[in-house]
Amino acid sequence: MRSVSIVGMGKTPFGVFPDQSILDLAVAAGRKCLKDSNVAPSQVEAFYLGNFAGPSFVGQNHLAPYVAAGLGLHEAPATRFEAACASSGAAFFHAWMAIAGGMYDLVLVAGVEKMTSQPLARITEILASAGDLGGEVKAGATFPALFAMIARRYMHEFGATREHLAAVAVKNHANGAKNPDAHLRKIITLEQALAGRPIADPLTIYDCSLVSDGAAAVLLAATERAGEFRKPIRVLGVAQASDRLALADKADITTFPAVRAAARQAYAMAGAGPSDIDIAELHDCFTIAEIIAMEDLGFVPRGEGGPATAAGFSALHGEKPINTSGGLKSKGHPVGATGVGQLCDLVLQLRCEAGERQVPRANVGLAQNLGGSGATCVVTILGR
Amino acid sequence: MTLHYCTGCGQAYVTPPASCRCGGSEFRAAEAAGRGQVYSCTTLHAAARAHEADLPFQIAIIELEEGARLTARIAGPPVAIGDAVRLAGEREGVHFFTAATT
Repeated sequence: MRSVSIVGMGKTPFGVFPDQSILDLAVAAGRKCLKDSNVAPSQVEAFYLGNFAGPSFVGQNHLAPYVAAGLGLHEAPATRFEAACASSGAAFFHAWMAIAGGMYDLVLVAGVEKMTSQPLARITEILASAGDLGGEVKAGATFPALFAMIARRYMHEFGATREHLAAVAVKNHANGAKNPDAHLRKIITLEQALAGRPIADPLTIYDCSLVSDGAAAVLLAATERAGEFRKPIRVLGVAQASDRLALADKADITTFPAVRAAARQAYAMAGAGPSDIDIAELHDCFTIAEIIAMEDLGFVPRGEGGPATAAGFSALHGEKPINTSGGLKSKGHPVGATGVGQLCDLVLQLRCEAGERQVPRANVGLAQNLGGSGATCVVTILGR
Repeated sequence: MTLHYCTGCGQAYVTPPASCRCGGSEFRAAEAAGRGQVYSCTTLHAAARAHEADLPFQIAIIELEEGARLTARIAGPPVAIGDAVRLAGEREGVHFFTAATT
């Protein structure tokens, strides 16, 4: 197995962009990435695109060659990956395999989602289709409702409080306010977060990530060729794991087995453990998801994610900074772009190009990209 | 209500899955009491289009006495984790449960 490096990155801001189509967004991120790596489209050997629901949100199918043509990639094989909110994490994992396995030297991976052109009830319905349609969704569950049931059970078992959940939102908004590409650059107080409009109790609007448009891209190269590029970042470990879709089919909804499995494999590949991780981008689709991810990744023991967050453990200048980009909560969550977007934000930190949100010690970073209510997870560990 | 038991390991399901956790794929149907308790729950204040007219409404993951879990609607007063519930009815494939004391 060959070592693989990220040798370029590019992303659009995340937000509401009525004047930009799904193609405009994906091509903008791809072009920025190729420019960052100083690579011509003709040099790219294959294209992997993460996208959750382009056909539902904007009607366009056959998206990968559609975007590849827009980028001038011509005959390179182009394939779309769908794994709910982990779509571009899955695209990245498979692109990594193609280089690690020796098939290609240079592969472009992108993620894109164009969500905001639909009314909110339709967006809710499209997102819910990543749950179990015949069971929980038929009963009326939405994604906020699924994570609300996870939060309710977690609070019941571990004594976590609404304040613990709100502490995640306050932290991520504080970080996102420093990120020029974030969707909602707004500092919020604990009182505001607690008093948010109820969505699915115990979750309020401030516990939920944003509905965003956006795209992100990274260029992968065999590390033996990484010397040709400025500031390459090594992929130290990466793994993808799966679980059942329906919450009712899981023995314990306060932990995600797919996250634990992917983390175990990624740590083993990197020869590292939780204490070696300097910074992390975690999948805070809802505040409770970041708390559980901290525990499933081994950053803190079970039940301690909430108190640790409230005590500043994961703050920008805390012991282990989490979501220095603002996370899905403040940076935004264009579903199919999120996995690669997390990697772009880690690359910025590892290159010391993260501006106002740069942390002083950033040698090893971890990204955790969760699909749906945990049926897919991709964990990636990067190092400089 | 009808439950489906894996002929390999005995695990009960509300809807028989393509494969049981044990790998089995044969199921035996049997009637169940329709009683259980709330494993988790939430009251929704926003919903997909098909359910918007019902807002606000409560859904719950119910653990039946036979061990199967399902996600169901709650009819009547709100319930909390650990509450005993019983089947109140079924409409278009959705089970409705209600607090067992009412």
